[in-house]
Amino acid sequence: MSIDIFLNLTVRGLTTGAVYALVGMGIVLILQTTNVMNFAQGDTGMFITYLAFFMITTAKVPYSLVLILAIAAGAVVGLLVERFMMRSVRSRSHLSLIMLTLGLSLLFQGLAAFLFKTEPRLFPPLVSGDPIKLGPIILGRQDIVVLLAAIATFGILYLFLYRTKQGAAARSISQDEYAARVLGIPTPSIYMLVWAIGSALAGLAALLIVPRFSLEPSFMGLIQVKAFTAIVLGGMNSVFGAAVGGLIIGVVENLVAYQFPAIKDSFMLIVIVIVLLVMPQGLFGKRQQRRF
Amino acid sequence: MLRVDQVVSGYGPIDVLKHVTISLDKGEIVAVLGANGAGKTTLLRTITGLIRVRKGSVTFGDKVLNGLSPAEVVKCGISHVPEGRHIFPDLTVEDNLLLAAYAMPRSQQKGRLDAMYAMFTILAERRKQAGGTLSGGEQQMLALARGLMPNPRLMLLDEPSLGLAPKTIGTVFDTLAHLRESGVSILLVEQNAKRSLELADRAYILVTGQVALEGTARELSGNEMVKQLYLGGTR
Ligand SMILES: Nc1ncnc2c1ncn2[C@@H]1O[C@H](COP(=O)(O)OP(=O)(O)OP(=O)(O)O)[C@@H](O)[C@H]1O
Ligand SMILES: [Mg+2]
Repeated sequence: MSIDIFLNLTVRGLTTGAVYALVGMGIVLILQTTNVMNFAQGDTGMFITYLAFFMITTAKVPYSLVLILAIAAGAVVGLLVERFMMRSVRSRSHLSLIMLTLGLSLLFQGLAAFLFKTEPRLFPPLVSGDPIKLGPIILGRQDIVVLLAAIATFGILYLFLYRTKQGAAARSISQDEYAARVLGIPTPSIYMLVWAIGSALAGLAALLIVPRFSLEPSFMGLIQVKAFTAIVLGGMNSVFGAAVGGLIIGVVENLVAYQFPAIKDSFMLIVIVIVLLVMPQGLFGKRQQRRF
Repeated sequence: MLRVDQVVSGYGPIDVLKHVTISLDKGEIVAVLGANGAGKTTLLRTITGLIRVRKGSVTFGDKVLNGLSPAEVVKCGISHVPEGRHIFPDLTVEDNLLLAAYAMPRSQQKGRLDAMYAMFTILAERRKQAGGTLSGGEQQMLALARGLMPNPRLMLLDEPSLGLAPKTIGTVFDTLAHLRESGVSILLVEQNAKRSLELADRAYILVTGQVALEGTARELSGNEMVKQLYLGGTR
């Protein structure tokens, strides 16, 4: 492998990794605050992408507006899911909460297949035009957008968590939910807010990714698995870990795929197993999980 | 000021409190004593809305608290310092304090924060330190300061001396006496019956979810049963 190829594979891996990071950050935000692994993260995004698709192709809504609407739609879905599904079950059984998100994922897939049919559709990229050359590196414009979006999202999440009182409340809940309630922190509204932000991220992520694939009900499935891998690698408990984990996996995967195309996807599952065996706390995780 | 009237509450199918009636007047320190599992913590949780009132009523001033969320109860002027302190281990001392005054506007938060640092100088020194790195005594001070942050009229304290060295216990009780001077009423749950009865104006003895005995602290200190069960020997 020449150095040029290596550089190109790495940078392109970073842009793929940015996708995993976007999905992973949303999952970790929800996981950390509400202690629920949201298996519907990917398919929430998928469903919203369908809505966006018809807005663009049928209703001819401008792309920038669609992006905003998709983020807003994600937030609304998150609010509804927390308010009408999670909240009533939360006090009763934790396991059912997780099963609920699995069910939600299947619901979105079924609904999409039923309403929009399963045949793949080509989704126009947000930005078109010739790839950009940076020295030996060639990068698609959409890839650059994805990378920038991931960085911006990380920044915004960081500001939310560390500079706002709602963010501080979310962190406090992740450390000691009982204490947060005792102190009079309105935990139900924080849960709603976090679900809204997390699901808005799902919409944004899926919309940015889909031009690289084609739009079909299952297109987020594998990406979500990779995002989970990113979270495990990053330590399960930080947005930062999910972001870095996502980037690392994107790069490693791209390099592996170049040498051994056949094991591209299974490789990541091997990575999960190894990480869990060798360093269960991941790269940036705390040794003990405070929630359990 | 606070009236708990014939309250029944509990967990799942079990009623822990069985028609408990207690009251507290403005400026009083009232102690609630009782053995492990008597329902003292449950009583405090019921008052602050962490668990539902099943029967009876809780009123504060002329406001009925039944059905309010803990966030709403704090806004009414009641704060709850939980058993076991429950400091957020990875948040700074300052964030721990600020979160305790969540509903307060930022401008007021600042003033409360300064007041807490003036009262608990050790917390001022440790303001940027993670809560989990404080010693047990320091954590209890932080827990008390969190309880004071929202500027409550009534504080519910659940075993503030639990697990502390005798000297630190002294500091905690001195702080409580000082709080009374500043006009905060206190409902105090304690295992340390001797010191509580020295500090409190009145007390209730809770036995398996019912008020078995009540009276002024002086009366109860002289009561034979109380002497035997709660003041005898060990303390
Ligand atoms: N979260 C809970 N779920 C179910 N039962 C509980 C819960 N918390 C307490 N109980 C039960 O309620 C009863 C009263 O408990 P509570 O904590 O109020 O007692 P306590 O007087 O505070 O005791 P201690 O002095 O040990 O703190 C006990 O039998 C306890 O097992
Ligand atoms: Mg107790």
